[in-house]
Amino acid sequence: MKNSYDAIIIGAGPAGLACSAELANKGLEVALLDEQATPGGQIYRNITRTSSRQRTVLGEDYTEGLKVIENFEKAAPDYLPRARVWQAEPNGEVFLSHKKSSKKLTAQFLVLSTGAMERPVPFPGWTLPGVMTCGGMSNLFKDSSLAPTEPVVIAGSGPLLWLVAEHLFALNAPIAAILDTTPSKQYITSARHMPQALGRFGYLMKGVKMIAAVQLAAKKAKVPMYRNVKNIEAVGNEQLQSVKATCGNKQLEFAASTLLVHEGIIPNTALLRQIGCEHTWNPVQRYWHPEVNEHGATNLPAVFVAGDGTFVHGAKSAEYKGRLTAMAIAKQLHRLSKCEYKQQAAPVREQLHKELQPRPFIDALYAPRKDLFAIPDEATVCRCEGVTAGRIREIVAQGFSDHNEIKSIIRCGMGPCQGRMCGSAVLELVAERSGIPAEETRPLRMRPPIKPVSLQELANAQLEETDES
Amino acid sequence: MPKYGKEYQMSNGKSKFAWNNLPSETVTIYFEDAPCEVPSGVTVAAALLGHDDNHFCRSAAKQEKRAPYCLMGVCFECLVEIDGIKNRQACLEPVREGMHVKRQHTLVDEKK
Repeated sequence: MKNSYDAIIIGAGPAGLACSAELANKGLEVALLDEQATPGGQIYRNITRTSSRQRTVLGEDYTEGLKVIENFEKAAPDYLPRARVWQAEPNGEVFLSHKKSSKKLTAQFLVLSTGAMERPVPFPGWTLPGVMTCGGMSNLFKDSSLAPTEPVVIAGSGPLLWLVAEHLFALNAPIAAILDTTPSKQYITSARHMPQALGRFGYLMKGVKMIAAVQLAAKKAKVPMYRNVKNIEAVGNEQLQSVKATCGNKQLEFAASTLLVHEGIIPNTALLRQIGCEHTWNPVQRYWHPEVNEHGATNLPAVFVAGDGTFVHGAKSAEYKGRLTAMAIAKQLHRLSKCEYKQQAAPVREQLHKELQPRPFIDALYAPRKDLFAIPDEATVCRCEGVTAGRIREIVAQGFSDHNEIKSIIRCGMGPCQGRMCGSAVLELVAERSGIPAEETRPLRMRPPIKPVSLQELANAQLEETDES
Repeated sequence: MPKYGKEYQMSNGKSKFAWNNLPSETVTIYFEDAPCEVPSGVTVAAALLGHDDNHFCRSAAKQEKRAPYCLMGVCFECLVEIDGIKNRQACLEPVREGMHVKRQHTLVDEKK
């Protein structure tokens, strides 16, 4: 490992893997940093080590990742797993913690391919042990083949909900209920995007088939399934015991020891915010995403963003975005002539456009529902500091609309997660109570270190350039 | 030789998860000083969830019991003490032979 590179890529999901491979293949000095122990990101998590049984359950969309890994391994850029980047700077400096010590690397270009996360949506009881996300369950299975043996309730909205349900049926997990929170009217409001989505008919059919298969499996196994579900609540004393919800006038309650929730996927902007990328608000999916062009170029000349971090478009798109970013950087470093660039980028851009065709439909169908953040006053919003929705509303009513101010007054967003879990909700609560549109409120600043590093480690950090090569 | 079958339990019986497909190699880690045999290569979070589902840590402010929520490094609800070092994210750390893992009950803000 050297100290200085042409490009440093942060995050080894499909975008980071494809980007670093493309750059290395063009003869550039590249380092790929990742906080996990094995490459693949979340979507292809642990793919180099999963058993054939795990791969059978996870299906083709998962094993697609093997090709990405193969290309990456052939290109062989420097790869540092278990490296936690805690600060990055627009001049290409990266500070990271690895094996209990911190050091600085520098590069002419940085690619932030830190991907996406599940939208954190507070509801009563969501902090109880036993409540986790659908993606979390999926990760657990990919990591370790663990599957639930006690009753599970699956609740929320979005393709991942159905995918995880499908996996759990394949594993014979005891599913207590499936609660779909997608409002029926979104099937109508999203319909206008259908013609464009039909450009990828096969992709749509795959989704339809998956949902139909889950519904059939649920019927066979007599698993209750409800649509238009609202007011999810986790009940229990220091551990989940049951899940309550409403469906129309009906009160539902299911005994369960695990509740898997999913309310969509949003870009993970922590590092992007810390470095200072400008962001734009998406009113359909209601999230902040960095302002980038087609190659992932940001307002910072040396900083690119690739993958789901630019906007949630899925694994295949992330791979294409990673390659396009690599080509743009190679062009800037004069490894590609204008003409070569045009030639190489055109087919990838075309593939990306094709891949994006169904996204407006999916984004509209699974848009966050209107009352998603109608959080009861007593529910905890900031998990770390234990701040309730009611307390946040009080502060907003006093005239505070900036999450940074709210944080300094009631510590909401000040804990170890640094606002990653409460950010989306605070934004919506501010909008609800103050009437200020979410996009006009000031987002939470991310201050380094964005990952916990001990003071001792900081004191001993090797921050001077001592390039051994 | 690794042990398989009903007589051999990697879980202490409290877990609501089971290994679906046991890896052939195991390592011994110490959870709250008690040895427990877990599949090699898995994350500390998976090892603990497969062993004992109780809780990983207590929340910084209210000392409520917490367990992993996101399992992808974002929520910081799986913070444990590993080999004497606090604030380790269990979902990102692979198990290692002889590793000592403890529940984190008081958050040490080492940035201060």
